[in-house]
Amino acid sequence: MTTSTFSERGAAAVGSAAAAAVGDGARHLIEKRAAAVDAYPAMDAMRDRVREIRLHTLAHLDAYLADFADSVEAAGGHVFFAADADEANAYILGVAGEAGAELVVKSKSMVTEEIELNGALEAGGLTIVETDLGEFIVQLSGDRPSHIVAPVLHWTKEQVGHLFADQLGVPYADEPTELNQIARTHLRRIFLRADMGISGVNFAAASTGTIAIVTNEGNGRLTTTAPRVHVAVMGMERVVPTVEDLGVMLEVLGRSATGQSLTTYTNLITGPRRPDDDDGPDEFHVVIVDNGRTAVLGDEVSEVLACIRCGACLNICPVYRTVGGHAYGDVYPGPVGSVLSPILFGFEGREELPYACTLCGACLEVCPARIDLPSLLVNLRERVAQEGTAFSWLDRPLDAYEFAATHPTMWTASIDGASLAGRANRGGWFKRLPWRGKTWTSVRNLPAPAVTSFRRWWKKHHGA
Amino acid sequence: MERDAFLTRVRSGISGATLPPAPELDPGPLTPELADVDLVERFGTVLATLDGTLHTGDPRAAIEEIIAHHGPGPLLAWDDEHLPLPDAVHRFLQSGCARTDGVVPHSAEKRLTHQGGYFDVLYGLTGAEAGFAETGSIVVRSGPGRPRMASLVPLVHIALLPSDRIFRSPMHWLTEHGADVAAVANTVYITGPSRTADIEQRLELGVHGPREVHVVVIE
Ligand code: SF4
Repeated sequence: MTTSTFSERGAAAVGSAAAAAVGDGARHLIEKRAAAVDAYPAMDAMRDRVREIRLHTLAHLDAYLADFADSVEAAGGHVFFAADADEANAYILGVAGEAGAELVVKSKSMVTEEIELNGALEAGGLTIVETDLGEFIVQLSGDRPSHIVAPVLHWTKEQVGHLFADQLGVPYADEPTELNQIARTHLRRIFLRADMGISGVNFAAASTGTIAIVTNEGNGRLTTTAPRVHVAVMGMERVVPTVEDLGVMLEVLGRSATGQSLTTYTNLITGPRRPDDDDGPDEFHVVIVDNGRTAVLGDEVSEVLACIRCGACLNICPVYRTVGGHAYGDVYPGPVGSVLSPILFGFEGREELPYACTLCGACLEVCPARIDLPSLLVNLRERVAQEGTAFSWLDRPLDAYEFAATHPTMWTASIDGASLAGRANRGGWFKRLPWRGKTWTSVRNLPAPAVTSFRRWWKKHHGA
Repeated sequence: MERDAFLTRVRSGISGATLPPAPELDPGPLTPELADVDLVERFGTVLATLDGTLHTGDPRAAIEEIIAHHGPGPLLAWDDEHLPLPDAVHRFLQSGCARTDGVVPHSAEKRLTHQGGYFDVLYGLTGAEAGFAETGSIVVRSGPGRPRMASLVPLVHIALLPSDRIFRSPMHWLTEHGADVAAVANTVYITGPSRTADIEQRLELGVHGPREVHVVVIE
């Protein structure tokens, strides 16, 4: 979290090449999602099951975590329960120390970013290499990821070419094929001699202790196969009851995230290499991280823990598409981040996040777990308003909300983005947003708004 | 934190929760309702959209065609007894491919040396437990004589899939064979070749895993 505010970061980002690239990338992903959903008639039924399984598990989370830990241990793995980031990082450092590890490979994981694991391990003298191509670029450059599933949406191929030439000592190239080849060769050497691999966990099955790690590149498999020690770090809410339930999550994850019916590699791991196995890690550790999640569980917005981190709500969000990921200031951007971050990390400095939203309802429309993000954001707005936090730019806290509610036709008329921008200025709606209306005039291509879903949502909540 | 203290804290979080009502889980089937299709045909069509290749017909001819295309190179293969085509490994060796040992030693130092030898593997030859028509995926399970690396480090992965092992969708397989997943340390669904679109959203194949995936159907 930086010391600037969302509106300052957002205003700076609007119209920037980086934010425009994120917007384009997000639009592309959401189009692919729509095509995948159209091609899969069971999507709605599966989303119902996903929601049911996620909420059921959360309601009995302590019991399922206990089951999961027992199952991992029965399969020969170790489990550590980490109350916070420090405990998690200290444990992983300890594992590395005992294993005599020096070189650590990582596959992309949000929770390890959240607990700032890399910094902790580097302070402990270890070398950490991010292996997802996007994260590798982010790490080499000292930049930050702009998107949950596509961290370098904001980079051009020329920028990557210069980075590789500078940092890896290879000749400059700017063809993606060559850049990929450079990364493959460089990272393959590192994989094959790394001592320890650290991964995240997309889902964990309590009854068997199986964890699922999905990647398209295969770095998730190499990270969990080549080094002799594998440490998997998971937010404690990742668990579901059984492998079959885990399968249901997979039915919607890839389709929602990137429009793939399945991500290329769905890696299901149950314990370390078995006695007669040919390969795989000799040691397997799972670190279950709370780090504020219990507070979320006890909060009115606890439903957000049902999130499966697909990124669809980011891709569809008109605010995210306009300001990009960095404006949100935390690991988790977009609508889901605006709900999660204030509770996970504290309201201070994040009071604006619940307002970084036009309440268009599009995120609810796409969320595979049917999380009612608009209602959760309204809940947080009310609390921010009650706290009396100073928002000089807000005459009345719910103006944008009320305006949207009473002007649903604005969306209907807004398919043409340019005309929307003009109307928004006249209507004053977007003036209620933190960075004021004027910057929105540069928005050329707002998404087709989810008019029906918004109306449905409004009806449900206000009986109008 | 001690496990019990951690879980007690979680419990206290739940008791204050305002989670939407969580009914008991619906015991109904988790399998999606999908239209009947010709499984092999659909599998091949979907795999092709993912830049993978399905080979029906004579499996030996398919293997020879692949080797002819790339030329001889280092091979990492499953043991014969785990492959549904008894002379598949032999075909590679006959064509001049050298077989790399797939058993990784336990000692840290020997492990490094051994895995260093995986750098240039060209071919990976494995079986496949199942295929999913809906997604074009294959299921590959690890075990003795079935190294995970064989479907991971080579540039070209050839998987031998018995035709009667193609299921309608992932959940059709999983609801029947869920117990198989945790019976081994590693089960992986492989859906086409390794891919990335990280740089300017442009699709590139083979960024970490195989660039080519050939599924050879065995009748
Ligand atoms: S809140 Fe829903 S749409 Fe957003 S990332 Fe989570 S699961 Fe996906």
